Amino acid sequence: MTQLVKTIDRYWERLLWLMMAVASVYVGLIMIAIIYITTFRFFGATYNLYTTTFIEYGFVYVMFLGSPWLVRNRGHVFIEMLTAAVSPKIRDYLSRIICLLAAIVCLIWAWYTWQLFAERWDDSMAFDELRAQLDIRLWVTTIAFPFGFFMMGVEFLRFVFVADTMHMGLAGVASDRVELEETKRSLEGDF
Amino acid sequence: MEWYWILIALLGSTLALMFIGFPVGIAFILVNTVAAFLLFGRFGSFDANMEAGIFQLTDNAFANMSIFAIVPIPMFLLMGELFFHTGLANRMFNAVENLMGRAPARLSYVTVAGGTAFATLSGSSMGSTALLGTLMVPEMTKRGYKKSMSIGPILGTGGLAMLIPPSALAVLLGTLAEIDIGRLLIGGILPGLILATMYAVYIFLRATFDPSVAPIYEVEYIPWSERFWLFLTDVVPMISIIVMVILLIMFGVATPSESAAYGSLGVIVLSIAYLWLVPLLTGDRDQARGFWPKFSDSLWKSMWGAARVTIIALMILFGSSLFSNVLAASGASVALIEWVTSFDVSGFVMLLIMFGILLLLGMFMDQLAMMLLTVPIFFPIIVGFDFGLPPEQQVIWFAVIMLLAMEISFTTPPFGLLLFVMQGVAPPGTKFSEICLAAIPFMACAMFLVALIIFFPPIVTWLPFIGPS
Repeated sequence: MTQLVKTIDRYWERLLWLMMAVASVYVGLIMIAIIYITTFRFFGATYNLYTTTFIEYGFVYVMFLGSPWLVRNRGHVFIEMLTAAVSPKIRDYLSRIICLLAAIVCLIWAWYTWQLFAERWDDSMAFDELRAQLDIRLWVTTIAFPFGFFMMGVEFLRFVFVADTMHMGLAGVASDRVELEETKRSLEGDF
Repeated sequence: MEWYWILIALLGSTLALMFIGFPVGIAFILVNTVAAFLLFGRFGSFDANMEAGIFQLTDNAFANMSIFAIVPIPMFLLMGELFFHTGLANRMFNAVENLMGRAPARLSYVTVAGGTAFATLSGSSMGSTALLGTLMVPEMTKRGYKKSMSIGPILGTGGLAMLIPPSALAVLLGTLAEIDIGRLLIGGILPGLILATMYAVYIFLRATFDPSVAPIYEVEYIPWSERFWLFLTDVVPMISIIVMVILLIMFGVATPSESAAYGSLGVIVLSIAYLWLVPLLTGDRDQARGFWPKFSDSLWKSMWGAARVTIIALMILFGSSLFSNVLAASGASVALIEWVTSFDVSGFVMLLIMFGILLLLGMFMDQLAMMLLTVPIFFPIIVGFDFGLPPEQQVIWFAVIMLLAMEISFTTPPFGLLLFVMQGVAPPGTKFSEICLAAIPFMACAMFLVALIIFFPPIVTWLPFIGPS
């Protein structure tokens, strides 16, 4: 049983990494898209109208693609002040309660946004009215929400049960500490 | 329910959740969900109320986030990450260190320059403090530098980083407050230069009158001709990209997102030149051959890093934009503005109150969370006051003050968050009182700058309004 859970966790983690990788590539593509639009406009050429939509929709997709990976790696901004001040035992309980509450919030959102997505999927006449000239089905604007929230919910729930809690008890903002470690590694000590 | 109870409940619960360690974005979402359930749901059953609330918030969130105005956030972050991972920022940092020669307190100047570069490009003064605290303070202590000259400059760089373009946090503030990002970035240049000069003057005076705080030590002599060449090859090209980005915005040739995208392209081209073209031309074939793995790796790390911080920002933006919507829907934001402006207080008193609130919040919140919580309330209020400036200049002026206030709050003894971060990474034996004392002169410089900006607004407003938007 434990082995099965570990295997599922390993593949799940790979999926999270893959989604984060897609989000990273998307950011690079946004840069290329802007250069493409600007250059074409500068020379008076027409550019594909979907490019702007690709950029604008991208923020929501990027956020939900990468957020679950960030939850797992303690990357979201949370402030360790109280959790740094209390005893390890209380921190352990507090951290698990926070993660449980966060998981409930995410799963509630996943459920209701899924309802919204399903409703729009069935409605073939619902289009994104803000971009009426492009005929984009309305479910395209909603699809990222249920999947993103569901995966985040699962990740928060994971922190309720695993040995390592989300809060480490180091004063400051956890995501900055993650960034610090990453930067240190990439600079390899020659700063 | 009266509007002030709604406001207290919304703000109080958000702050409480953040304080106990809730992820900031999720804290906003939780409060918004409960508020939306109560405000939008009038259909009887729990399920119907939740549907009404969350459906409404989902559409609001998509509309708030799928806008072109957000583009500068990932683009400036990408540019900064590219500068770091391609090694260009490091190259410039090393060149600055070599150009300093035997100048007294050279490592303090280098720390100011390096810390500013790191915090500006990464948008995280905490990350910068922790990094420099780990790497520079032990080196400076070894060279005999006193704590005031090693820790102080590091704590001071956060303020500079907030102001000097391409400041990721300024871009975020501009996006949140819906003000002209280009003008905000340009508005930070002059105050940034003034603050950098103040720091340099303080370090110079301190090292001159009390040489024991930063002893001079022997470094390898570099001839002036070599230094000039170093300046041309390792400083000018990198600075040119940043200057180009600013000028393109300043003269209305490109929008901030466009110029940042071209800035990123510029960094990529420059790194190709340094990593492949120069070794190829100078006959260093081994290095030229190793170009692709190095280049692709730095490109990947940059995209990953930019995506990571963008997602963090977007997640909080998601919660906070809904928070503004909920505040507006409850009528609390309009009522608050009417209430605040009904008092017979001058704009400057109001400015001081806001400054005080920011100082208070900085004790336990990071800048992003502070911005997201205060922007929807502060900006509409400040627009209602007359500071003798045209409205479009007034918001830029206030945004720069707000940026500085947030950074000062981070370093203000005895509770500033950066002080605790520094204590966590400083060499063993460093007392908290030493960290506080080291921070004070640099904070005083930043406070003095805020006073200057309040009484001489053109320090901020002159440069951004020279050219077209």
